[in-house]
Amino acid sequence: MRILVVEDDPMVADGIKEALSCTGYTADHVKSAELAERVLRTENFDLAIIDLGLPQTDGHELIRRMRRAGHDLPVLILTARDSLEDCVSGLDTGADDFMTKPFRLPELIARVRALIRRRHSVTSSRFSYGELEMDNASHTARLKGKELELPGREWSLLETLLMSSPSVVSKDKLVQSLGGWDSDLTPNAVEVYVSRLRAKLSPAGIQIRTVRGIGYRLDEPVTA
Amino acid sequence: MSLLRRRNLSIRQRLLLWLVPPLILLWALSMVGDYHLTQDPAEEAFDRALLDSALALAANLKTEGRITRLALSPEAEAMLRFDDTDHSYFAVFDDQQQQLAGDHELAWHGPGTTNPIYFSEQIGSEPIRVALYQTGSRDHPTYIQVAETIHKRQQLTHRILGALMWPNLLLIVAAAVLITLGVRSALSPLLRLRDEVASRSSRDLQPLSTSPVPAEVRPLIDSLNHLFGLLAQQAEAQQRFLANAAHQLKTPLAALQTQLELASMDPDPASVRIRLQQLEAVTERITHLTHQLLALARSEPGASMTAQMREIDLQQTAEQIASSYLDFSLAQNIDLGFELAPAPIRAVPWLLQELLGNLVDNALRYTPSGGVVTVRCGVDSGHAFFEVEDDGPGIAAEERSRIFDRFYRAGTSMGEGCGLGLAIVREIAEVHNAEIIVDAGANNKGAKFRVRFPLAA
Repeated sequence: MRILVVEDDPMVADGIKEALSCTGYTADHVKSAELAERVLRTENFDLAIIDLGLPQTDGHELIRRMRRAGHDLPVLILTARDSLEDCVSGLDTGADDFMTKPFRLPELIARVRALIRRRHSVTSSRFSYGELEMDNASHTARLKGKELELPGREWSLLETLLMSSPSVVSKDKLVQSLGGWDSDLTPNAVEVYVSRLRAKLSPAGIQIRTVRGIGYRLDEPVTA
Repeated sequence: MSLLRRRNLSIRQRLLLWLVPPLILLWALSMVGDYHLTQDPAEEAFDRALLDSALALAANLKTEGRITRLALSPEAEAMLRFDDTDHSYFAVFDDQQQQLAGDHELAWHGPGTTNPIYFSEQIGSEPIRVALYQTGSRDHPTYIQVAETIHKRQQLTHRILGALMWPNLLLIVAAAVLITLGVRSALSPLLRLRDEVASRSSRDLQPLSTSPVPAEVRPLIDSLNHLFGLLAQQAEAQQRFLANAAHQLKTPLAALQTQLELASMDPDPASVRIRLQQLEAVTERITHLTHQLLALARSEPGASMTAQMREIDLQQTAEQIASSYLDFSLAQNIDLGFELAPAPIRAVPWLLQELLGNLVDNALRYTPSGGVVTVRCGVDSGHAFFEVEDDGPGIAAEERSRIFDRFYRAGTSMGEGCGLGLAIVREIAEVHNAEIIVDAGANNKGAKFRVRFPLAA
C-alpha cells in the first residue's frame, strides 16, 4: 500500500510518514499541490492524505483537479480550520473523509485503514481486518489462517460492521443489512448473531463492542 | 406646509418655521383689525361734521309759497367754508334737480334711500366726501349736498397707520429675535450632547453626564448610558477572557516545557517513556483548550447563525457524536449509554454537535472510573430535549448558576476540564432559544443536564 502525503508543514508530515511506515504502509511526502499533481501523473498511489491549507494552490483545488484528471484514489483531508463547513465542502469536492488538526496518530491510522478497506471492497472481492480475511467471491473467511465458518446472516452482519468501522453502527442499520435474509427480523435477533460472532472472533482479539442504546462497533486489537 | 413634511429638517428649523411665519401673519391681521377699529369712528366723526354743515344750511332755507331759496349771509358762508386743510363745497337742489344755490362743481347725486347719506365722489381728479340731506315737505323736498376734499382724512389715516405699524413691527422683530434665541438656548443641550458623543474616543465608555439636560432628552441619554454600560461590561469581559485564556494556555505549556527538559536529561529509558506519556496528556489538554476557545469564539450569537439553521434530528446528532466519545469513555472506564428517540428541532448542525459533544465530554470528564453516563433525547411536553446524566460527584445547588461562567470550574471537581465547555453550551443554547436545566441525577446522585429546544414546526 502506497500513500501520498501532501502537507507543507515538515514536522506534521514527518510524523504522519513515520506512523504510516510503522503500520506497514509506504508513504511519500510532497510539500505542494503542484508537486502532488506531478507525482500523481507518473506514480500510482492507494490513498492521498491532503492538507487543505497548502501554499499557492489549496487542498480543495488539488482534489478538484485530481478528480477531473481521473484519479479516483481515496482522499483523506487534514485541516486546521475545524469548521464543519470547510470539511463538508471538502467532501463535496471529492474527498472521502476528513480529520481536523491536531489529531491523534492512532485515529489517523484507523481512518486510513477504513478508507483503504472500503476502497478495496469495491475493487476486489477480498478484504482483511487484522487477522481476519474475507473473500466475497468464494464466500470464505479465514481467521489467523484457519478457515472460519460464517453462515449468511453472520457474514452480512460482520461485513456491515467491518465496512463502518471505526464508526458505531445502529441496531436499526444492522437489521436493515440483514433484510435480505429475513423480512421480520427483530433487534433482539441481532443480539443473538452478535454474540455468536463475538465467540468466533475473540481468538483474534477482534471485539464487537456494545454501545448501550445505539448499536455496535467493531474494534481491532491494538497492535503496537 | 410641504416643507414641514420633509424629514431632514432640523428641530430648530421646524420650530422657527412654525413660529415666525404665523407670527407675521398674525401681525398683518391685527394691523387690519386695529386700523378699522380706529379709522371707522374717525370717519364717522368727519361725516358728522359734514352733516352739521348741511343742517346749518337747512336752517337758512326760506320757503315762500312754492319758491325756496337760501338766505345765507356772507359771514355765515365764510364760516361754513372755513377750513385750513380741506376745500368745502355745498349745493342746494329742488325736487326738479334744479340747483338753487351753491357751487356748480358739485353735481346732483340724489336722492338716497336713507336720510342722510354719505358717499365718496370726485371733482375733477380730486376725491371728495359728500353728505346729502333731504329737507322740506314730502311733496316738495329740497336737497342739500355738502362736500369736502379728504386731505384731513388721509392725514389721519397715515397717522393711525404709522402709530399702529411701528410699535407692532418692533414687537415682531423683538419676538422673532427672542424666539430664535429661545430655540437656540433650548436646543443647546442637544448640540452639546452631539459634540460630546462625536468627540468621544471609541474606547471611552464612561456614561454621559445627565445634570444639565432637559427632561425630554433624559431618556435618550439614559438609553445611551445603558448601551455604554453594556459595551463596557462586554469589553471588560473580553479582556478578562483573553487574560484567562492566555493563562490557561501557559499552564500546560509550562508543564510541556519542564517535562521536555527533564526527558532530555533523563538517562533512564523507562522513566523517559513515562515522561513522554505525560507529555502526550499535556498536549491533549492544550489541544482540547484551543478547540474550546475556537468553538466559543465561533458560537457567539451572530446574525449569520439563523441563516445556517435547518431542521435536524437530535437523535441523529446524538448517534453521530456517540462514535466520537466512545473511545474516551472506554479509556476512562465509564459505561456510556444512550436512550434516544426522534426529536426534530431547527439548529445549526455543527453548533448542535458542539453543544451535545460538550455535555457528553463534560460528564465523562467529571465522572470517576466505573461510573455510568447516559445520554437521552426525545420529545417531552411540547419540547425536544437532550439530556446527559451521570453518577459522578454532582454539582452543589449553590454552584449551579456559576458553572456556565467561562473558566469556572466546580470546586468539588476532580476532572481536568478547561472550564469552557459549559460556557460553550450556554452560548449555543442561547443561539437556539434553548433552556438549560441543571439537576441532580437519579437517586439524588450525580448531575443531570437537560437542554430543552423548541420543537421544529
